[in-house]
Amino acid sequence: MKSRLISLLVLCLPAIHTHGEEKIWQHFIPDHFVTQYAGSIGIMNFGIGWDYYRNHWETEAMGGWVPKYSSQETKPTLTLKQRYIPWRLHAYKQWDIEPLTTGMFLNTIFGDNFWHNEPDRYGGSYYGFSPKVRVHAFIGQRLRYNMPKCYNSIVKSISAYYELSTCDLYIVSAFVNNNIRLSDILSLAFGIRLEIL
Amino acid sequence: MTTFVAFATTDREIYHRTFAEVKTSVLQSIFFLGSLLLPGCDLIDVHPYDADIDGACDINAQNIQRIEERCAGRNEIRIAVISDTQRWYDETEDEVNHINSRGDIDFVIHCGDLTDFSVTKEFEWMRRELEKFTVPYVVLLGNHDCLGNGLDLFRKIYGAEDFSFTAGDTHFVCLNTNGLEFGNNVPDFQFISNDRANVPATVRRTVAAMHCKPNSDQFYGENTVKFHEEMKKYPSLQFCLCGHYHSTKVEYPFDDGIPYYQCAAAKNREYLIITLTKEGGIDYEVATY
Repeated sequence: MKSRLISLLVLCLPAIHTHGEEKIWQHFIPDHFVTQYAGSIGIMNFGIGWDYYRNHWETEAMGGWVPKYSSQETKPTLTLKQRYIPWRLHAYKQWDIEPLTTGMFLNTIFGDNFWHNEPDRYGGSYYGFSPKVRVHAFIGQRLRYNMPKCYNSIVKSISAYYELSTCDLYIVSAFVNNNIRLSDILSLAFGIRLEIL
Repeated sequence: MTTFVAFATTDREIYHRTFAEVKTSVLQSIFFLGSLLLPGCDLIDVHPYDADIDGACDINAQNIQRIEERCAGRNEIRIAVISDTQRWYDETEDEVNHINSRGDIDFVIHCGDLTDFSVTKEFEWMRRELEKFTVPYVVLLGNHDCLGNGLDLFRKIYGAEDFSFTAGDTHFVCLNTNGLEFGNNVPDFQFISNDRANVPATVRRTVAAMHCKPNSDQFYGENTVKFHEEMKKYPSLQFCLCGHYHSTKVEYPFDDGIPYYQCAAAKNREYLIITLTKEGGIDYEVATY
Protein backbone atom coordinates (compact mmCIF):
# COMPACT_ATOMS: atom_id res chain seq x y z
CA MET A 1 0.00 0.00 0.00
CA LYS A 2 2.77 2.39 1.07
CA SER A 3 4.93 1.65 -1.99
CA ARG A 4 1.90 2.06 -4.25
CA LEU A 5 1.27 5.52 -2.78
CA ILE A 6 4.88 6.53 -3.32
CA SER A 7 4.88 5.39 -6.94
CA LEU A 8 1.65 7.32 -7.51
CA LEU A 9 3.30 10.45 -6.09
CA VAL A 10 6.38 9.97 -8.27
CA LEU A 11 4.14 9.57 -11.34
CA CYS A 12 2.29 12.77 -10.45
CA LEU A 13 5.40 14.91 -9.89
CA PRO A 14 6.07 15.86 -13.54
CA ALA A 15 2.44 16.95 -13.77
CA ILE A 16 2.84 19.65 -11.11
CA HIS A 17 3.41 22.63 -13.37
CA THR A 18 2.09 26.12 -13.10
CA HIS A 19 2.35 27.89 -16.44
CA GLY A 20 3.17 24.78 -18.37
CA GLU A 21 6.89 25.39 -18.65
CA GLU A 22 7.64 26.38 -14.99
CA LYS A 23 8.54 23.61 -12.58
CA ILE A 24 7.39 23.81 -8.98
CA TRP A 25 10.94 24.12 -7.60
CA GLN A 26 11.42 27.30 -9.61
CA HIS A 27 8.95 29.03 -7.33
CA PHE A 28 11.39 28.61 -4.47
CA ILE A 29 14.11 30.62 -6.17
CA PRO A 30 14.03 34.04 -4.45
CA ASP A 31 12.75 36.92 -6.57
CA HIS A 32 14.44 39.64 -4.58
CA PHE A 33 17.02 40.48 -1.94
CA VAL A 34 16.33 42.93 0.84
CA THR A 35 18.31 44.97 3.38
CA GLN A 36 16.51 46.77 6.20
CA TYR A 37 17.67 49.17 8.88
CA ALA A 38 15.83 49.16 12.26
CA GLY A 39 12.05 48.66 12.36
CA SER A 40 11.99 46.68 15.66
CA ILE A 41 13.64 43.60 14.12
CA GLY A 42 17.35 44.39 14.59
CA ILE A 43 19.77 47.14 13.63
CA MET A 44 20.64 45.68 10.20
CA ASN A 45 18.73 42.88 8.53
CA PHE A 46 19.41 40.96 5.34
CA GLY A 47 17.06 38.60 3.60
CA ILE A 48 15.47 37.05 0.55
CA GLY A 49 11.92 37.36 -0.72
CA TRP A 50 9.36 35.93 -3.10
CA ASP A 51 6.88 37.87 -5.23
CA TYR A 52 3.63 36.30 -6.32
CA TYR A 53 0.03 36.82 -7.27
CA ARG A 54 0.69 39.47 -9.96
CA ASN A 55 3.36 40.93 -7.66
CA HIS A 56 0.73 42.14 -5.23
CA TRP A 57 2.08 39.89 -2.48
CA GLU A 58 5.57 39.39 -1.14
CA THR A 59 7.02 37.12 1.51
CA GLU A 60 10.43 37.86 3.00
CA ALA A 61 12.72 35.98 5.36
CA MET A 62 15.35 38.10 7.07
CA GLY A 63 18.15 37.61 9.55
CA GLY A 64 19.60 40.43 11.60
CA TRP A 65 21.10 41.32 14.93
CA VAL A 66 20.55 43.58 17.92
CA PRO A 67 23.73 45.19 19.32
CA LYS A 68 24.17 44.72 23.05
CA TYR A 69 23.69 48.37 24.07
CA SER A 70 23.13 48.23 27.86
CA SER A 71 22.69 44.45 27.97
CA GLN A 72 25.27 41.68 28.23
CA GLU A 73 25.26 40.32 24.68
CA THR A 74 24.56 40.91 21.00
CA LYS A 75 21.43 38.99 19.98
CA PRO A 76 20.59 37.47 16.58
CA THR A 77 17.03 37.77 15.23
CA LEU A 78 14.94 36.19 12.47
CA THR A 79 11.98 37.80 10.73
CA LEU A 80 9.24 36.50 8.46
CA LYS A 81 7.38 39.29 6.67
CA GLN A 82 4.22 39.21 4.58
CA ARG A 83 3.55 42.31 2.48
CA TYR A 84 0.60 43.43 0.34
CA ILE A 85 1.07 46.05 -2.38
CA PRO A 86 -2.32 47.12 -3.73
CA TRP A 87 -1.13 49.62 -6.36
CA ARG A 88 1.88 50.49 -8.43
CA LEU A 89 1.74 53.89 -10.12
CA HIS A 90 3.98 54.78 -13.01
CA ALA A 91 5.62 58.05 -12.07
CA TYR A 92 8.25 59.14 -14.56
CA LYS A 93 10.38 57.32 -17.10
CA GLN A 94 11.79 54.30 -15.25
CA TRP A 95 10.32 55.32 -11.91
CA ASP A 96 7.28 53.75 -10.23
CA ILE A 97 5.69 54.59 -6.92
CA GLU A 98 3.97 52.13 -4.65
CA PRO A 99 1.95 54.52 -2.48
CA LEU A 100 0.98 51.88 0.07
CA THR A 101 2.61 48.74 1.32
CA THR A 102 1.12 46.99 4.30
CA GLY A 103 1.34 43.70 6.11
CA MET A 104 2.57 41.90 9.16
CA PHE A 105 5.76 40.30 10.36
CA LEU A 106 6.88 37.87 13.01
CA ASN A 107 10.19 38.39 14.73
CA THR A 108 12.09 36.07 17.01
CA ILE A 109 15.11 36.99 19.13
CA PHE A 110 17.71 34.54 20.40
CA GLY A 111 19.24 34.64 23.87
CA ASP A 112 19.16 32.78 27.17
CA ASN A 113 16.54 35.07 28.70
CA PHE A 114 14.19 34.91 25.73
CA TRP A 115 11.95 31.89 26.12
CA HIS A 116 8.93 30.95 24.08
CA ASN A 117 7.40 28.44 26.48
CA GLU A 118 7.69 29.54 30.09
CA PRO A 119 10.45 27.67 31.95
CA ASP A 120 9.29 24.95 34.36
CA ARG A 121 10.09 27.01 37.43
CA TYR A 122 7.00 29.16 36.78
CA GLY A 123 4.79 26.08 37.06
CA GLY A 124 2.53 26.67 34.06
CA SER A 125 1.35 30.04 32.79
CA TYR A 126 2.72 32.78 35.03
CA TYR A 127 3.42 35.67 32.66
CA GLY A 128 1.14 34.60 29.82
CA PHE A 129 3.30 35.94 26.97
CA SER A 130 6.58 35.15 25.27
CA PRO A 131 9.50 37.62 25.25
CA LYS A 132 10.93 35.67 22.30
CA VAL A 133 8.30 36.13 19.58
CA ARG A 134 6.70 39.43 18.57
CA VAL A 135 3.92 40.07 16.07
CA HIS A 136 4.11 43.39 14.22
CA ALA A 137 1.91 45.24 11.72
CA PHE A 138 3.15 47.93 9.35
CA ILE A 139 2.34 50.43 6.60
CA GLY A 140 4.84 52.01 4.26
CA GLN A 141 5.64 53.40 0.84
CA ARG A 142 8.09 52.43 -1.86
CA LEU A 143 9.90 54.13 -4.71
CA ARG A 144 11.01 51.82 -7.51
CA TYR A 145 13.50 52.20 -10.34
CA ASN A 146 13.03 49.72 -13.19
CA MET A 147 16.31 48.87 -14.80
CA PRO A 148 16.18 49.71 -18.53
CA LYS A 149 16.06 46.51 -20.62
CA CYS A 150 19.06 47.60 -22.71
CA TYR A 151 21.34 47.28 -19.63
CA ASN A 152 20.78 43.49 -19.67
CA SER A 153 21.30 43.61 -15.92
CA ILE A 154 20.50 40.71 -13.62
CA VAL A 155 18.89 43.32 -11.38
CA LYS A 156 15.41 43.98 -12.69
CA SER A 157 14.53 46.82 -10.33
CA ILE A 158 15.79 48.65 -7.26
CA SER A 159 13.33 49.92 -4.66
CA ALA A 160 13.80 52.08 -1.60
CA TYR A 161 11.18 51.87 1.10
CA TYR A 162 10.24 53.01 4.54
CA GLU A 163 7.76 51.40 6.89
CA LEU A 164 6.09 52.37 10.14
CA SER A 165 5.28 49.47 12.39
CA THR A 166 4.13 48.62 15.86
CA CYS A 167 3.97 45.38 17.82
CA ASP A 168 1.63 43.47 20.12
CA LEU A 169 3.26 44.62 23.38
CA TYR A 170 3.24 48.29 22.30
CA ILE A 171 -0.43 48.10 21.30
CA VAL A 172 -1.55 46.60 24.62
CA SER A 173 0.38 49.37 26.42
CA ALA A 174 -1.05 52.20 24.33
CA PHE A 175 -4.57 50.84 24.27
CA VAL A 176 -5.21 51.40 27.98
CA ASN A 177 -3.24 54.65 28.42
CA ASN A 178 -3.79 58.16 27.09
CA ASN A 179 -0.21 58.89 28.16
CA ILE A 180 1.19 56.59 25.51
CA ARG A 181 1.03 58.51 22.26
CA LEU A 182 1.05 57.16 18.73
CA SER A 183 4.61 58.41 18.26
CA ASP A 184 5.65 56.37 21.33
CA ILE A 185 4.67 53.08 19.75
CA LEU A 186 5.65 53.62 16.10
CA SER A 187 8.89 52.26 14.77
CA LEU A 188 10.50 53.49 11.56
CA ALA A 189 12.39 51.23 9.15
CA PHE A 190 14.33 52.01 5.97
CA GLY A 191 15.13 49.41 3.37
CA ILE A 192 16.47 48.64 -0.07
CA ARG A 193 15.06 45.87 -2.24
CA LEU A 194 16.77 44.42 -5.30
CA GLU A 195 14.56 42.50 -7.70
CA ILE A 196 16.44 39.93 -9.73
CA LEU A 197 15.57 38.17 -12.95
CA MET B 1 8.00 36.13 -15.10
CA THR B 2 5.31 36.69 -17.71
CA THR B 3 2.91 37.53 -14.88
CA PHE B 4 4.99 40.56 -13.94
CA VAL B 5 4.74 42.12 -17.40
CA ALA B 6 0.98 41.63 -17.40
CA PHE B 7 0.69 43.33 -14.00
CA ALA B 8 2.85 46.25 -14.99
CA THR B 9 1.08 46.79 -18.31
CA THR B 10 -2.37 46.67 -16.76
CA ASP B 11 -1.43 49.09 -14.02
CA ARG B 12 0.17 51.53 -16.40
CA GLU B 13 -3.02 51.62 -18.43
CA ILE B 14 -5.34 51.95 -15.47
CA TYR B 15 -3.29 54.22 -13.24
CA HIS B 16 -1.63 56.41 -15.80
CA ARG B 17 -0.89 59.75 -14.15
CA THR B 18 1.10 62.76 -15.08
CA PHE B 19 4.26 63.29 -13.09
CA ALA B 20 2.77 66.41 -11.43
CA GLU B 21 -0.30 64.48 -10.22
CA VAL B 22 1.79 61.70 -8.75
CA LYS B 23 4.15 64.19 -7.13
CA THR B 24 1.23 65.96 -5.47
CA SER B 25 -0.29 62.77 -4.09
CA VAL B 26 3.05 61.50 -2.81
CA LEU B 27 3.85 64.82 -1.13
CA GLN B 28 0.40 64.87 0.45
CA SER B 29 0.83 61.39 1.91
CA ILE B 30 4.32 62.25 3.18
CA PHE B 31 2.97 65.41 4.86
CA PHE B 32 0.14 63.38 6.39
CA LEU B 33 2.47 60.74 7.83
CA GLY B 34 4.92 63.45 8.88
CA SER B 35 2.24 65.27 10.85
CA LEU B 36 1.53 62.06 12.75
CA LEU B 37 5.16 61.69 13.67
CA LEU B 38 6.39 65.18 14.46
CA PRO B 39 5.33 65.25 18.16
CA GLY B 40 8.06 62.77 19.06
CA CYS B 41 10.78 62.14 16.58
CA ASP B 42 12.47 59.22 18.31
CA LEU B 43 11.11 56.67 15.87
CA ILE B 44 14.11 54.42 15.49
CA ASP B 45 13.40 51.33 17.55
CA VAL B 46 16.02 48.66 16.92
CA HIS B 47 14.08 46.00 18.82
CA PRO B 48 11.53 45.96 21.69
CA TYR B 49 14.23 44.20 23.76
CA ASP B 50 17.20 46.20 22.43
CA ALA B 51 18.17 47.64 25.86
CA ASP B 52 19.08 50.86 24.00
CA ILE B 53 18.43 53.50 26.61
CA ASP B 54 19.65 57.00 27.26
CA GLY B 55 18.50 59.79 29.56
CA ALA B 56 18.46 59.75 33.36
CA CYS B 57 20.43 56.85 34.86
CA ASP B 58 21.59 55.75 38.32
CA ILE B 59 18.48 57.40 39.75
CA ASN B 60 18.43 55.60 43.12
CA ALA B 61 21.92 56.75 44.13
CA GLN B 62 21.15 60.38 43.27
CA ASN B 63 17.84 60.30 45.09
CA ILE B 64 19.33 58.58 48.14
CA GLN B 65 21.75 61.49 48.44
CA ARG B 66 18.79 63.90 48.34
CA ILE B 67 16.89 61.80 50.92
CA GLU B 68 19.83 61.67 53.30
CA GLU B 69 20.37 65.44 53.03
CA ARG B 70 16.68 66.18 53.41
CA CYS B 71 16.19 63.94 56.46
CA ALA B 72 19.55 64.52 58.21
CA GLY B 73 19.12 64.89 61.97
CA ARG B 74 15.36 64.27 61.81
CA ASN B 75 13.49 61.89 64.13
CA GLU B 76 10.16 61.95 62.29
CA ILE B 77 9.91 60.69 58.68
CA ARG B 78 6.86 60.46 56.42
CA ILE B 79 7.07 58.23 53.36
CA ALA B 80 4.70 57.36 50.53
CA VAL B 81 4.75 53.77 49.26
CA ILE B 82 3.69 52.92 45.71
CA SER B 83 4.02 49.64 43.84
CA ASP B 84 3.17 47.64 40.73
CA THR B 85 2.72 50.55 38.33
CA GLN B 86 3.30 48.36 35.28
CA ARG B 87 1.31 49.35 32.19
CA TRP B 88 -0.82 51.80 34.23
CA TYR B 89 0.82 55.00 33.05
CA ASP B 90 -2.28 57.19 33.37
CA GLU B 91 -2.87 56.02 36.95
CA THR B 92 0.82 56.46 37.79
CA GLU B 93 0.72 60.04 36.51
CA ASP B 94 -2.28 60.75 38.77
CA GLU B 95 -0.52 59.03 41.66
CA VAL B 96 2.63 61.14 41.19
CA ASN B 97 0.56 64.34 40.96
CA HIS B 98 -1.40 63.38 44.07
CA ILE B 99 1.76 62.77 46.09
CA ASN B 100 3.39 65.96 44.75
CA SER B 101 0.35 68.02 45.74
CA ARG B 102 0.44 66.84 49.37
CA GLY B 103 3.69 68.54 50.26
CA ASP B 104 4.16 66.51 53.48
CA ILE B 105 6.05 63.51 52.04
CA ASP B 106 9.79 63.17 52.64
CA PHE B 107 10.36 60.56 49.95
CA VAL B 108 8.69 57.78 47.98
CA ILE B 109 9.47 54.06 47.85
CA HIS B 110 8.36 52.13 44.75
CA CYS B 111 8.13 48.41 45.63
CA GLY B 112 8.83 47.10 42.11
CA ASP B 113 7.15 46.00 38.88
CA LEU B 114 7.70 49.10 36.80
CA THR B 115 7.09 47.12 33.64
CA ASP B 116 4.88 44.28 32.52
CA PHE B 117 7.16 42.72 29.88
CA SER B 118 10.58 44.31 30.62
CA VAL B 119 10.47 45.94 27.18
CA THR B 120 12.92 48.87 26.81
CA LYS B 121 10.17 51.38 26.01
CA GLU B 122 8.26 50.39 29.17
CA PHE B 123 11.28 51.37 31.26
CA GLU B 124 11.42 54.70 29.40
CA TRP B 125 7.70 55.39 29.70
CA MET B 126 7.62 54.60 33.42
CA ARG B 127 10.72 56.69 34.07
CA ARG B 128 8.99 59.56 32.22
CA GLU B 129 6.17 59.41 34.82
CA LEU B 130 8.31 58.82 37.91
CA GLU B 131 10.69 61.63 37.03
CA LYS B 132 7.75 64.01 37.59
CA PHE B 133 8.08 63.43 41.36
CA THR B 134 9.11 66.63 43.12
CA VAL B 135 10.25 64.56 46.12
CA PRO B 136 13.06 62.02 45.90
CA TYR B 137 12.08 58.42 45.19
CA VAL B 138 13.76 55.02 45.14
CA VAL B 139 12.72 52.01 43.05
CA LEU B 140 12.97 48.31 43.91
CA LEU B 141 13.22 45.44 41.43
CA GLY B 142 10.01 43.51 40.74
CA ASN B 143 9.75 40.10 39.11
CA HIS B 144 8.25 41.58 35.91
CA ASP B 145 11.29 43.85 35.61
CA CYS B 146 13.75 40.98 35.18
CA LEU B 147 12.42 39.32 32.02
CA GLY B 148 14.59 39.52 28.90
CA ASN B 149 17.23 42.27 29.45
CA GLY B 150 15.20 43.82 32.27
CA LEU B 151 17.79 43.37 34.99
CA ASP B 152 20.47 45.12 32.90
CA LEU B 153 18.10 48.02 32.26
CA PHE B 154 17.06 48.26 35.90
CA ARG B 155 20.69 48.34 37.01
CA LYS B 156 21.52 51.04 34.48
CA ILE B 157 18.51 53.27 35.18
CA TYR B 158 18.06 52.78 38.93
CA GLY B 159 21.15 50.95 40.21
CA ALA B 160 21.82 47.82 42.28
CA GLU B 161 18.82 45.67 43.17
CA ASP B 162 19.86 45.45 46.85
CA PHE B 163 20.54 48.80 48.51
CA SER B 164 20.09 50.65 51.78
CA PHE B 165 20.19 54.20 53.10
CA THR B 166 19.67 56.07 56.32
CA ALA B 167 17.05 58.81 56.54
CA GLY B 168 17.37 60.69 59.84
CA ASP B 169 17.23 58.11 62.61
CA THR B 170 15.80 55.33 60.41
CA HIS B 171 17.64 52.78 58.30
CA PHE B 172 15.89 51.60 55.11
CA VAL B 173 16.89 48.24 53.57
CA CYS B 174 15.56 47.59 50.04
CA LEU B 175 15.95 44.03 48.79
CA ASN B 176 15.50 41.88 45.71
CA THR B 177 13.21 39.02 46.79
CA ASN B 178 12.18 37.71 43.36
CA GLY B 179 12.98 34.05 44.01
CA LEU B 180 11.27 32.72 40.88
CA GLU B 181 13.69 34.77 38.77
CA PHE B 182 16.86 34.37 40.82
CA GLY B 183 16.32 31.02 42.55
CA ASN B 184 17.86 30.43 45.93
CA ASN B 185 20.28 33.36 45.45
CA VAL B 186 17.73 35.83 46.76
CA PRO B 187 17.34 37.26 49.28
CA ASP B 188 21.07 37.94 49.35
CA PHE B 189 21.89 37.08 52.98
CA GLN B 190 25.50 38.15 52.45
CA PHE B 191 24.33 41.63 51.50
CA ILE B 192 22.02 41.72 54.54
CA SER B 193 24.76 40.80 57.04
CA ASN B 194 27.27 43.21 55.45
CA ASP B 195 24.71 46.00 55.49
CA ARG B 196 23.76 45.30 59.09
CA ALA B 197 27.39 45.53 60.12
CA ASN B 198 27.54 49.03 58.63
CA VAL B 199 24.41 50.58 60.10
CA PRO B 200 25.37 54.01 61.53
CA ALA B 201 25.33 54.31 65.32
CA THR B 202 22.71 57.10 65.11
CA VAL B 203 20.09 54.68 63.75
CA ARG B 204 17.33 53.81 66.24
CA ARG B 205 14.95 51.88 63.97
CA THR B 206 14.84 49.97 60.66
CA VAL B 207 12.35 49.56 57.82
CA ALA B 208 12.63 46.82 55.18
CA ALA B 209 11.18 47.04 51.66
CA MET B 210 10.85 44.28 49.06
CA HIS B 211 8.71 43.33 46.08
CA CYS B 212 7.58 39.87 47.28
CA LYS B 213 6.93 39.10 50.93
CA PRO B 214 8.42 35.96 52.55
CA ASN B 215 5.20 33.91 52.46
CA SER B 216 4.69 34.58 48.73
CA ASP B 217 5.12 32.35 45.69
CA GLN B 218 8.59 33.88 45.13
CA PHE B 219 10.24 32.58 48.31
CA TYR B 220 11.89 29.22 48.63
CA GLY B 221 11.10 27.07 51.68
CA GLU B 222 13.70 27.66 54.36
CA ASN B 223 14.39 31.24 53.18
CA THR B 224 10.99 32.35 54.43
CA VAL B 225 11.71 32.09 58.16
CA LYS B 226 15.44 32.75 57.81
CA PHE B 227 14.75 36.03 56.00
CA HIS B 228 12.47 37.36 58.71
CA GLU B 229 14.88 36.29 61.45
CA GLU B 230 17.74 38.06 59.67
CA MET B 231 15.70 41.24 59.29
CA LYS B 232 14.86 41.22 62.99
CA LYS B 233 18.58 41.41 63.80
CA TYR B 234 18.57 45.00 62.49
CA PRO B 235 18.08 47.71 65.13
CA SER B 236 14.39 47.75 66.07
CA LEU B 237 12.71 46.50 62.86
CA GLN B 238 9.45 48.50 62.60
CA PHE B 239 7.69 47.02 59.59
CA CYS B 240 8.24 45.55 56.12
CA LEU B 241 6.88 46.98 52.86
CA CYS B 242 5.93 44.85 49.87
CA GLY B 243 3.89 44.82 46.66
CA HIS B 244 3.42 42.06 44.08
CA TYR B 245 -0.17 41.08 44.97
CA HIS B 246 -1.85 44.27 43.67
CA SER B 247 -3.99 44.83 46.78
CA THR B 248 -3.70 46.77 50.01
CA LYS B 249 -3.22 44.49 53.00
CA VAL B 250 -1.72 44.45 56.50
CA GLU B 251 -0.39 41.09 57.69
CA TYR B 252 1.55 39.74 60.65
CA PRO B 253 2.80 36.51 59.00
CA PHE B 254 5.17 35.60 61.86
CA ASP B 255 2.87 36.60 64.76
CA ASP B 256 5.60 38.67 66.36
CA GLY B 257 4.02 42.12 66.11
CA ILE B 258 5.99 43.10 62.97
CA PRO B 259 3.58 44.07 60.20
CA TYR B 260 4.02 43.54 56.47
CA TYR B 261 2.32 46.45 54.71
CA GLN B 262 1.33 45.32 51.23
CA CYS B 263 0.82 48.16 48.75
CA ALA B 264 -1.79 47.96 45.98
CA ALA B 265 -1.12 48.26 42.25
CA ALA B 266 -1.58 51.64 40.56
CA LYS B 267 -4.77 50.43 38.87
CA ASN B 268 -6.43 50.33 42.33
CA ARG B 269 -5.63 54.03 42.72
CA GLU B 270 -4.36 53.50 46.25
CA TYR B 271 -1.01 54.06 47.92
CA LEU B 272 0.31 54.05 51.48
CA ILE B 273 1.46 56.94 53.64
CA ILE B 274 3.46 55.85 56.65
CA THR B 275 4.80 58.16 59.32
CA LEU B 276 7.57 57.08 61.64
CA THR B 277 6.80 59.40 64.54
CA LYS B 278 9.32 61.03 66.82
CA GLU B 279 7.78 59.14 69.76
CA GLY B 280 8.82 55.90 67.98
CA GLY B 281 5.35 54.93 66.75
CA ILE B 282 3.92 54.20 63.29
CA ASP B 283 1.05 56.06 61.64
CA TYR B 284 -0.36 54.01 58.76
CA GLU B 285 -2.76 55.52 56.25
CA VAL B 286 -4.15 54.40 52.89
CA ALA B 287 -4.49 57.25 50.40
CA THR B 288 -6.80 57.09 47.38
CA TYR B 289 -6.69 59.38 44.37
